[in-house]
Parts: sequence; C-alpha cells; structure tokens
Amino acid sequence: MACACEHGVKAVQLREKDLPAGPLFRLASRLRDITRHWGATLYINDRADIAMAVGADGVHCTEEGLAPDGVKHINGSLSVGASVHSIASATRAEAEGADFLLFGPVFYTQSKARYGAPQGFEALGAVVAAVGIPVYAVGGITPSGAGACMAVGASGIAGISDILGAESIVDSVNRWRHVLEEL
Amino acid sequence: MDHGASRLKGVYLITDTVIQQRYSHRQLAGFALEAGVHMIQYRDKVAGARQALEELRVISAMTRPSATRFIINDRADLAIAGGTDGVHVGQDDLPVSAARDVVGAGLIVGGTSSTLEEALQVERDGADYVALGHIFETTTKQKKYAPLGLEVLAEVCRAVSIPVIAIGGITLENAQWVRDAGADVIALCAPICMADEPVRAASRFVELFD
Repeated sequence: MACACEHGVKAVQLREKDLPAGPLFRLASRLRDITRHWGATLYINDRADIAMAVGADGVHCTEEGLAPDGVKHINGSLSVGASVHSIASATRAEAEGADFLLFGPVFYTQSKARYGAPQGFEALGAVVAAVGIPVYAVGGITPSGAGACMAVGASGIAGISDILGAESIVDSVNRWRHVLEEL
Repeated sequence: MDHGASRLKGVYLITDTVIQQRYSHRQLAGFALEAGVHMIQYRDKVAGARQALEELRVISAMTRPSATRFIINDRADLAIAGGTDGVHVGQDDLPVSAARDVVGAGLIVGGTSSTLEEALQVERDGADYVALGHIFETTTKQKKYAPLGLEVLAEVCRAVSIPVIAIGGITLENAQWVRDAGADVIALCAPICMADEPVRAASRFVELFD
C-alpha cells in the first residue's frame, strides 16, 4: 500500500470483513500513517469507530452495514462513501447523506462477481445522472475501460485486482495515472 | 463520570442468538427487564450493522426508563448510534483506550480480562469495569485455557478499584462463592437465554443480590 500511495493513489479503502476489531485497528493505524505521509485519504469499511480511533477521513458503507446517516449521526465530520448496485440504492444512499458513491460492478471482476452480472457503463451513466454527488466506477475496470466510464460522467475509478494483483504495483499505478490524466 | 458505573452491582445478561434461536435479542432484553437484571449486553457477531442498529434502538428505548443499563459488545460506533449506555470490548476488539476515545466519558466502557495483568491493564486504559473469566467451566464459548477459579477472582477483586464482573460457568449453586470472592456483578448467558423459563431463571439470580 505504501508503494501504491507513493505513486499517486489518492484514496484507500480498508476492507477486511474477517478481521476482529483489534487487528483491524492496528492495520488501520499503519495505513493511516502511510496515507497521511503520501497525502492520500483513508476510508474504513463499515466501522465508524475504527475510523474515528485512527483518525481516518471517512467510512465506506455497504448495503448490509452501517448506513450513511448512521455514520453522520455518530460523527458528522466523517466523510461517507457508499457502495451501490442500482439507481434505487444510489438515490437512497444520497438521501441518507452519502458524500459520494461507488457504483458497480461495471465490468466483470472476480472479486465482485457475487454482486451480480456486470452492469456496463450505460447503467453507470444512468446513476451519474440520477444523483447529485460524485460517482466512482468500480468493478473490472482496466485502463482501457476507464475512458468509457469517465465519458459517462464518473468522477474516478476504484479498483482492487488491477492494482493489488498487478505484477508491479508501481507500473500499474503509473499506467492508471497516465490514463486518467489524459481523459 | 455520570453514568454510575462505580455503582455496578447485580446480574449482567449477555443476549445471544447463536447458542439459541427461540428468542430474539429484544425478547431476551424484555425478560431481563422483567426480572430486574442490572445490565444487558447485546452480543451478535453475525448481524450486519444496519440490522443491529435497528434492534439496538428498540432495546435502548425499552431500557432507558429503567435502572437497567444496556451496552453492546465490540462496536463503539453502534453504542453511540444505537443510543445505548456503553460498549464492552474483548481482548481481540478495539483497545479499551481507543473505545474510550470514540465514545467519550459519558458512556460506559468495559473490558475483558483473563489474568490479573490484563485486568490491571484494562483498568489503566480507562475502563469503567473489568470482566474476568472464565471462572468455571463453560460451554457457551470454546476456551483455550483452564478456568481461573475463585482464588484468581479474589486476587483481581483486591487488586483493581473498578467493579469486577465475573463471567463463565456461573450457576445458582456457585454464585454465592463468586460474590464472596468479591465480584460486584455476575455475568450470565446460557443459564438465562437457554432456560425453560428465562424470566424465572433470571429472577432467581437477581434475588441473590437482594
């Protein structure tokens, strides 16, 4: 992660569903040091308490987890992102106070296969049009697919496999940066 | 602190919907209130936060008019959002000091220990009470170590100045020994959650403190 941040990743979301809160807190503390050093923001999945305890920028909400209004109730200064998979859940998350959305899966990806078939960049465009907050595209997005996402109004790209699964994280992040700078 | 944790005394029920499915958390909390249980801990490692928060808000509304305190296991954030009285953290959970940072001075923070050293650390980290266990053999949780017994309990009770909650294998038969060893509170799960008549079972433990 230090490697990815050094080369320009702007936001990091910690997602570890199976770790107890103690180890998660220690991991989040280390990520906070790294992200702060490189000027990247840090989001913790679902756990507003861990986000507060380590001084993270915000919380990322899933559909089963703590809702955006729950996070804002606990601490109004936390930024809130929310994963959404339809226009209905996107407008709900916006109404609940989310600051931005992650919509997907746009393309096929193994890590998101359980959220259903790829939705395509047209559905992404429909969600962008339906809400007034930034929408990031997630799910199977390669540098070559990013153009279509940005063209329909996505504010950015979120990814797991293409960066963390890459043979060289540095090369992958740099390739991404060049693609996004040109768009 | 204003939440009166220093006056903790009585029976502490841990609601559990894994060891039994007859009753929901809300129903178990209702039984506890009826019996005059002193503290209720909501423990659910399975429920998503969205669902847990709904249940917490309902139970908080039930307990608020009573003297019973309601706390949640593990999640300091839900303790705030659910309107509860506090949070309990185990050794694998958020550190006591971090939980305190999150909930502030106004809510109860309790911590788990299984040795004298851990109990002292929990106290130093700013907990309002320390739970010590398991005192006797228990089947509710798989344990990697032998029961602590009454002597360790008595030693911890002498060593710390915050209330001590004894947990693990406590029955009507041995509860008096636990109190005699100095425990302020006895924590129970299966003996109430799995009793044929939970209100009656809880009442019999509560009567030990009258």
